[in-house]
Amino acid sequence: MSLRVEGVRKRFSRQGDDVLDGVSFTVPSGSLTCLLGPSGVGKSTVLHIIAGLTAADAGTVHLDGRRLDGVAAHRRPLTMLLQRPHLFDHLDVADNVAFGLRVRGVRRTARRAAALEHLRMVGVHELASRYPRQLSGGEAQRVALARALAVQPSVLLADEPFAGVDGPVRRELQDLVIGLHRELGMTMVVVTHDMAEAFAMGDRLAVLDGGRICDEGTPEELYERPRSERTARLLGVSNRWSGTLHGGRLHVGERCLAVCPSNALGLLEGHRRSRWGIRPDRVRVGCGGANPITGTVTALRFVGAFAEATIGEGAGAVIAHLPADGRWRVGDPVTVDLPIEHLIELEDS
Amino acid sequence: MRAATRAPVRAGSFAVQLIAVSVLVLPLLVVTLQAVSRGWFYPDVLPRELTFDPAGEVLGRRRTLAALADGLAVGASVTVVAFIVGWPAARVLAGRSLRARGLVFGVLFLPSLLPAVGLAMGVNIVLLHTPLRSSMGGVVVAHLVPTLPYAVALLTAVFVRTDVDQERQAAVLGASPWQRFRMVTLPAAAGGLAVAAALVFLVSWSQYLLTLLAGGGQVVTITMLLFSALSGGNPTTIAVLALCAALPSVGALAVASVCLREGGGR
Repeated sequence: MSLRVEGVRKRFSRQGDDVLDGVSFTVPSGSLTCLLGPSGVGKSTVLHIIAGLTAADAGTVHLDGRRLDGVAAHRRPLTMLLQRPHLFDHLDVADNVAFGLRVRGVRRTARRAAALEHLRMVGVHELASRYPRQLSGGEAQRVALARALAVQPSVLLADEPFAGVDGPVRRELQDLVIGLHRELGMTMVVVTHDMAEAFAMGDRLAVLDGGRICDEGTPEELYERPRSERTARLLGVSNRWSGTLHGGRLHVGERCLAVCPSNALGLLEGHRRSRWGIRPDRVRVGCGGANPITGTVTALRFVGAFAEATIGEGAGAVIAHLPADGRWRVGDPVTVDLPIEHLIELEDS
Repeated sequence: MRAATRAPVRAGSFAVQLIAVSVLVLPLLVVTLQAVSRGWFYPDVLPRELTFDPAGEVLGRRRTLAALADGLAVGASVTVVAFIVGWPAARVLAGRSLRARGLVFGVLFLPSLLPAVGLAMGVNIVLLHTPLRSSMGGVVVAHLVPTLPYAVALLTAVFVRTDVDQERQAAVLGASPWQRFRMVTLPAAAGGLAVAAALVFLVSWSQYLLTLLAGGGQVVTITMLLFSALSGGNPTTIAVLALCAALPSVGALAVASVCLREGGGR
């Protein structure tokens, strides 16, 4: 089932600004869409509005064309995983998973069998008779996932479902959700503030920032070609400069950079202010390109697979990923190139 | 070294137990002995004759049984009404800041600051102008004045500890408001609710002046019989009535301790 969120607005206090200022996006049927955004921008609120747990001030939610406004949460054909598992302490694991079936009037033996089947799907069927207090964080989240799947929702919403777990367990849970999504073909919306998680899980991304959806697309599209400044910043495009487009070239301070017409948001002819950016991992070390820049390494941060170097100072500084081979030191001269195919124009927000 | 530090702790623990025994158990033991004795006079250390006859006689009186029934009916009704009224208030207060809660509790508990006679007279004057005067309904309403603040405070404490998101989770799993209440809220808060109910019942059970004035003599509880016996009854009757009056307290303490142990203090 496809989901369409249209012009949703929400304000939590009379004096305050709109947390959501006309949020619109589409979740295609059968997709796993990640709603990505920094903390505190209202991602969870969007999910709560879709689930019917919070009322929107304006806007609509459509599920396969059917308007959901005014439909109580318990009557919506979707379910949601909250940030923490919120298992019911007085019920054992199997009864927790069977809860949604119990409220639908399914008989005890049938719902117990369904619960065990779903527990097997998430790999924790041996925990069926345990109580929530006897589970680890990862196990509890698996049980919560089984509980959500047991009601066979048309759409599964997940609000930062792995926020409480980290390391290998988080990775395992991500893989589990990806596998289940492939197996069941269910429409899913996963909220996260973690870019890596969004890229790993989502077949579509919607980026929420500043109360609106800044960008929508596949992870590859948004990685290579973020449209808005906010998306670029969130997705790690840390080199962003304002300049003037003149004579088909970008003038940033004293630098004159060659740019690719297909990476511009408008025509290159004429004279206009413009904002451009490039990912640090796309900056090449060495000369030989169209936009060579020479400077000294002013800061160096070892990140593991590479060293993040700041070349030059001030607004014109370039951040590049250098090989982490111990060759580079602060103060070393270096020449890098900004490949024109990766230099992209951004919508100024 | 360790044994040396343990010694004062043990001594302190023993002292606390001794005080608890002398303050709680000894008086109860004396009253129990008095209730099952005939002719226990000074300077006898123990009663000369132990018998259940006087106790049976007091408990067999119609008046005593009626007082027990009235007291239980009033206490149960007050608990139910206080819960019905206090529940929504407590739900709202549980979601508010500590400061806001303190302010509301301060207002709610204001009547408790008044002398009992003043409060009882005030309530009685109000009730005299209503059809509830000198009736069990009037006594229930009067008892709500001292019990409602406790009900709201105790229920708020229960809801503060209750995970509201569990109800939201239940909602998105398809549970209607009634199913959420029955299958999630109630079981999660059962221990705390039982303790709150027991304490509210006790506050109502122990009311004397309010019952006397609001009931206008038509509603007689064990507490009232006890006060009446104290002003001239025989010691065995007083002891039997005192035990009757104390029994719910012991029961409430037992309920509270079991619920808190099972519910992990929730």
